[in-house]
Amino acid sequence: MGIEAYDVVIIGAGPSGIGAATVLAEYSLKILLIDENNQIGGQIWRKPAYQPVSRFRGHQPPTRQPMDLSTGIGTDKNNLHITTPSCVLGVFPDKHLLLSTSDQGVREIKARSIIFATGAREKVLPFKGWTLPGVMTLGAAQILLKQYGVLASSEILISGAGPLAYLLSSQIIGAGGKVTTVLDRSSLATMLNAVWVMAGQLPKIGEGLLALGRLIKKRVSVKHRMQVVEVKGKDKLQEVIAVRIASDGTAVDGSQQRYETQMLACGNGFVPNIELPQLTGCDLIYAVDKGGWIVKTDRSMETSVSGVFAAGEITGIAGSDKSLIEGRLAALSILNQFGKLNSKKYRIRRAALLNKRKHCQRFGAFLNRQWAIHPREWAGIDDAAIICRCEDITMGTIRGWIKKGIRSAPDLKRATRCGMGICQGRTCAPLIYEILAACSVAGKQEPHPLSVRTPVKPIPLGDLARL
Amino acid sequence: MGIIKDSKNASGIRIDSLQRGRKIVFFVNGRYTTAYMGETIHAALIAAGYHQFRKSKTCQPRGVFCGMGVCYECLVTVNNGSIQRACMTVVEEGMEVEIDGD
Amino acid sequence: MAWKSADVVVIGGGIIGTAIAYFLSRQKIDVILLEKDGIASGSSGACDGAVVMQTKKPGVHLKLAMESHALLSRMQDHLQMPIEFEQNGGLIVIETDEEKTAMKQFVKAQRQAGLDVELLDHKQLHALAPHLSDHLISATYSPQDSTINPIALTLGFAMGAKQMGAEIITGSTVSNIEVEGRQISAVETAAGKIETRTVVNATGVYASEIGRMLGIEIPIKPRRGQLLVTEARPDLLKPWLGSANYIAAKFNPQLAKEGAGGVSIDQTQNGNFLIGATREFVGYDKRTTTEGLKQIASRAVQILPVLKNMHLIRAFAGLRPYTPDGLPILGKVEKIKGFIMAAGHEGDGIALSAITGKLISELVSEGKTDVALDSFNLNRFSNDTT
Repeated sequence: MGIEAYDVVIIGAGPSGIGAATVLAEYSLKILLIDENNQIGGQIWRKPAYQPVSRFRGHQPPTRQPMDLSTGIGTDKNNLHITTPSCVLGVFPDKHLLLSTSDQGVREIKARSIIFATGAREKVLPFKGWTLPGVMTLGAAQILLKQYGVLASSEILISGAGPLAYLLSSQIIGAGGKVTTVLDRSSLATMLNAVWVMAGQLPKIGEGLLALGRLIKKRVSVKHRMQVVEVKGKDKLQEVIAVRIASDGTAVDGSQQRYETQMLACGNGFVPNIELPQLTGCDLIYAVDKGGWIVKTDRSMETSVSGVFAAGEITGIAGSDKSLIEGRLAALSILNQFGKLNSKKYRIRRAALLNKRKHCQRFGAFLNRQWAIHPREWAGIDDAAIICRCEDITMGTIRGWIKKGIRSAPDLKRATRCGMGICQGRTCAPLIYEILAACSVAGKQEPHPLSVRTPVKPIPLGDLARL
Repeated sequence: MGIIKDSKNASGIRIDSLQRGRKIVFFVNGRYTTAYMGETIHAALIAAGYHQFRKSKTCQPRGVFCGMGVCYECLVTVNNGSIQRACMTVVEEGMEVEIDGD
Repeated sequence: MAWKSADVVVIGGGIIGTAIAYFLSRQKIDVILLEKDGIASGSSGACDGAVVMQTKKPGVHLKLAMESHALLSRMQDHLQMPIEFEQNGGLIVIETDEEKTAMKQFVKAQRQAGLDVELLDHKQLHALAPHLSDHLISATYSPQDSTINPIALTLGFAMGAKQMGAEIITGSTVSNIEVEGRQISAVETAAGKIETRTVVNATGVYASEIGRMLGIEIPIKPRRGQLLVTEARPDLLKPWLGSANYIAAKFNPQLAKEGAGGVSIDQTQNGNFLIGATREFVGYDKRTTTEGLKQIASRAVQILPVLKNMHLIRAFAGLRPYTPDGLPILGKVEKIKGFIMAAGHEGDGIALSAITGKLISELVSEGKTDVALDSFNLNRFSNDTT
């Protein structure tokens, strides 16, 4: 079978990928939109699952895509191909991609331009016992509820900071569930400050007020500056222990609180999914106020690799509005490069979008600072807390090696197997970077994140053999 | 023959306000379990009250964590063969799911 | 002003360099090891852990391997790091009658050299490894074949050396080697000069770069090996496994071209399968290719069908230090006094690590070795030995 060629391959069908696809679909270009999930929409625009599952249909346009918001994607566009659930396993020279599809196995495709719109994953500050069933991320609890209408438990304890913790609480209450307590890492003052930062983004303030209103009405207790430090239970979560964290990152004496609960949803912000751009050789930078390692782009969203673009959370965590804008920006830049949009029109449209993006970035920086973990908090993590969940590597083991002189993530990986498991380091690598930085004299970050290898997501060997 | 049971001391709850697909039956370690078309294995398991899906390398209980295909904590054996992420795999009529610990 | 001084400077923090530093320190010799990146960050961190005797050429090559095996089997008693040495035996699986004929000859020669190895029939083979494909007609088996965790062993040697007084400096690139007359006098790094009269070149695929600093040509070039790692599973395959055309690929590239590619499969102590490997000359390119991955995956699935449903979690490539005759370059280099070679082990670095460390430390401390190193000397590649 020959290698199928596309003008633009968009990886990730969340806000940025959809944003790009809607712009590009208006032109006579052959576009492929890829997403790992059954539905397009990404993590934020998840829809109830009963809708027909979209599948790749070769050259046939998908007929009934789950539509959302302003997208209007896919109904009558012959040039836009969507493949879900599909996963890009590797990127090779000349923009050749190895794609794993659910119905056509593994195949090779090539692109004139690539847009990486791979989004973000949740980050959780580890604590003793966080691997127990019954402890999940805020996002996991939200997906269960929004997409499948399942409340993980009749009572849920929420721990985290930022909009998702409150949004989830409100959704749980709205669905008839009970939120026992919200442990908010940030202070009340920070919350009030958020309203100020969000000025000019009325819908967000509205959402926030609605969520808060629900919490107040149900008399949900909100405790500020609290962080879970340990959970207990035999085979399943039974008890949560939290402490108050002072501004210097240490636990406040006597602040310990215990909660009995079967379900804890927790989150400490987001980590950009940079693996594919990294494998492609795109330059990366580390920026604390953008969520850690991000992809470096210019104002046209082009990365350091010519013809390869990055949009959305992978250029800095800031939420769906920024992602949508950047997806459109990347699409316009490609249209300009392909000679389908003249430079004058391009510059005008780009300037307008860049201007809108500024507000989103400010909001993003505020959130990321709120989520930031104080270096001293790492010192407070129990030796028995697991850091690498795949290989069961504990904080104590990692501390031992740091004491023996290990200072870099690759050395730590080789010495402990941390990050060598089936999740390919996605969960523990961002934690390792922070642990090592917290231990280094200057709090300095390493020059590169841990290396990424093909396949970027695990695949059955048999699928590869049949290629 | 397994015992027909819908849920075991279910702590997971299906809410009423969401429209669902057709009701189907699948098997969890040989037990009849209900699910709805379009649900992933993880949603169906949680709704049926299963929280421990597998044991880790050092035999610790594990279940759903990220719920979005990143962490590989929710691995289950599907139809006697492949090991799949429960959160990314849609449950099918008659599917046999093996979990380690229930 | 010199920055440091040492009796011996070992260049290279891979399996060979750390083994040498370890055995030197055991003899209380003052040693500094210089590594340009991190310990085991190159080939030793991107290879399998075969300590397999059956893949060695009968003769001095096999003799060294067997001595090294004996050392490695006792090494855990001396090292703090768990090195996962396991003597689970090794299989060379045979798919055709032609292969069987060739392997019969090979086994005969190996037995004469003192290796415990036998030819299994179909029934014996499948009793020993029940998950193997039925099309495998036979196999050779040696209970002496073993495996080890190569990264752990390298780190173990480095830590052991450090504990006995060696200084290990990582992130330090050698920029020049100074010579007075024909005698080595110092090694230069960005951080400063290290005075020494003995330098061991254990830089593997980079050995020729170090040679060039002294005007010595070293015929080692990188040969890429792509490897696959699967998710961990409970025990499915006990012995290390190689295909008969793996042996062919190793010793007779012409023969290997004709059949399906050679493959090796090992289930590590952790439960992951480590599957290798391609043999390609592509310079220092460490990337994996779709062709390479596909080739290894399809051969592995043919031989061990249970792999079909198992997830590939990682693929990587390591560069093996290839020499034209498949044997390492060991011993003194006549042209420069104090310059010792210990590189070019290609795929045998892990297996030969302990004996290489021991022999080189003997060579440094006593000026000679128990086993004659003549057939490993650099001068075998050159007519002009002066």
